[in-house]
Amino acid sequence: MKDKTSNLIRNLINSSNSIVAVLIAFLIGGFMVLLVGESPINAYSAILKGAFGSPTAIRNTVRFAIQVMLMAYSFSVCNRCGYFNISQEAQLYTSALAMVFVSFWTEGLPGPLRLVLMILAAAAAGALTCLIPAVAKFKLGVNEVVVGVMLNYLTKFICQHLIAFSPIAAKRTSSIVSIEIPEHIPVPVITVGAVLIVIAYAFILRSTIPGHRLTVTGKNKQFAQASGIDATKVLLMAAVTGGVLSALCCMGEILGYFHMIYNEFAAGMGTDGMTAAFIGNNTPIGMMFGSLLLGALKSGSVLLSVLTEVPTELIDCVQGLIMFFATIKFFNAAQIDLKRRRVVE
Amino acid sequence: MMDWISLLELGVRHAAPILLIAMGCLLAQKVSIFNLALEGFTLFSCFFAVVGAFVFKNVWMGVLCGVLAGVLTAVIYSVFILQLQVNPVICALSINTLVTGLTRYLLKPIFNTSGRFVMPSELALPTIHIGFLDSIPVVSVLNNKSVLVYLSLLLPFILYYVLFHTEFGLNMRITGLNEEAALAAGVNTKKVKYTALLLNGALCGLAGAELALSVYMFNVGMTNGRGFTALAAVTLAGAHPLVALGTCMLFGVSESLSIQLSTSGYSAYLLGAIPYAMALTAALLPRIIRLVSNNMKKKSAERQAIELHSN
Repeated sequence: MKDKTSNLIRNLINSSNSIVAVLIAFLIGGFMVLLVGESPINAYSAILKGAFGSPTAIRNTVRFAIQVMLMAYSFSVCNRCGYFNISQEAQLYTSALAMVFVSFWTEGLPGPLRLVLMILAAAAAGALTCLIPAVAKFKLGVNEVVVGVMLNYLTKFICQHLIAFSPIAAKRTSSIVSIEIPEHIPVPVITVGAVLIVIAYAFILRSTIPGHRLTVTGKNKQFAQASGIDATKVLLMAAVTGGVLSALCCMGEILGYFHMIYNEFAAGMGTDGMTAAFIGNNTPIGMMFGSLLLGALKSGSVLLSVLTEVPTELIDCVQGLIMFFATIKFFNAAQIDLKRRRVVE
Repeated sequence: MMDWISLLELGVRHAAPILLIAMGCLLAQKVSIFNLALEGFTLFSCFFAVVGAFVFKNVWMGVLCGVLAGVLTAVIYSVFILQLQVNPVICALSINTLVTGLTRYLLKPIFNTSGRFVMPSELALPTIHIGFLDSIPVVSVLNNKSVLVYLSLLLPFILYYVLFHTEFGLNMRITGLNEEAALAAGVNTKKVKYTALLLNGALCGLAGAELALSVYMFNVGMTNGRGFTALAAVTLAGAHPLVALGTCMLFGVSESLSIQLSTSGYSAYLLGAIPYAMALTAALLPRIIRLVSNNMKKKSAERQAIELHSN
């Protein structure tokens, strides 16, 4: 019982870190609004209205929140075992390409079969892309960040090439996009699916053997190895899970909203997920709040430029500031724990 | 047929900012800091180089402001990662996000425009004409460049000397190789790391000034991945300054080639991917070869043991 309360306190301390970070970011953002000669209250109420003011606004907020949340979970599951999943954008590009190519090649097959094939191809592509830096790190000893960053740019250029000069290119003069795919998934299905994924993720992490192995390996690799867990296998499985989660995010975007590949559609999505993961301190519920915050900022930014003179880029600045401060430990849970123990003694 | 002299000339011009950033990146790499914030450093310097030049009506004040902006971001970055022990990758990514947003945002209150700001053309970085270079066939592509381009071409040699022939360079290399040993040998490793990062910021500042003031304008996102290209160049060169000069030149020429190709309707995207593909290969291939050769050695040792037994 005592252990549970101290756990609760630790969680509270950790989340207060994120809250302070978010507050500081909004405070600095407010000063930036003053710089343009507008009132910060007007600007923030415009964002709030844009995010929750109408059914359409709420729908947009939910859409962005789901997108950010899946990316956050993808980042966090890898981060738990010390693998920095920075190649998320590459995973999005490859799984999008896999979907469009499968849809292009399987013309004539019945619709549901095509959809299943596309989903499988996307998941496989995402997982494989996520595995490249992971294998480089755990088998070859190369820094995964180097490999991940290079992979992001490489796939971005390859994707641009393919949607401009290949059978899947839509020959339009105005912009480079891929051909439109006929398969759709209705938006409510995506929403429900995302919620189910979140519940499953939290359940697996908390109360199943693979989740326990992941936690143990993440905390101490040597200890895990000594207690009979094949650490490398667990780490690679985490990378596969991360890749599949990114691919799921991509499926939601392409099958639910875009129905084609836009040029650089994944730009910045990896950073969004990372920010949400840091706001939420890698806990399932915390990340949900983090992605809701970022989703609201994204959908609220639309009204910001309509109702006020403030440039929409305020959102980018606030997000950067949140990320900046979310990594600082204002209150260190371990230290406070130690102090409490000393007082008790 | 493509005019390869003009290709080379454009290549030198494109290589200069990449080279300046790469030299900064190399210094950070030498003290084993993998700096992903190069893009942010450079973009911030681009913006403030334009601000400085426009406010003071003097291009050299612009260069100074650019360098100061680069150093400022470097100070923030280094305090966060060295003093507050924040994860360097996350800190770098947040600097990049923040700078991208901030430079877009500040265009409104400072210049009252959005997207881009073009200055009068007399605020461009002046070019230097060296008479005798015209008479030499290929070297003439180096003529009529700004002073920062010449500096960028000299810098690898200066860095080579500093790194391998001075005590400061030795301190830097030992800090990167083994921090405990450096500490034991009486090197103030924190000071060395700060110096390397601040120099990195200053060099990114010069790169930003060259990038923005050579075309006397600021464009949102005008660094356009150059920070990461420089990172790829340094990775490919194994953090050796003279090899990095070669790789940066290669990437500069490939950039100008991709511009020429895209104007004539070919796909330039695959050319853009070359730096990253090469850097990826350079990072992975040696390790793969070592792994395979180790496995083979192990097998041959086993075979020897078997042969020994059967005899």
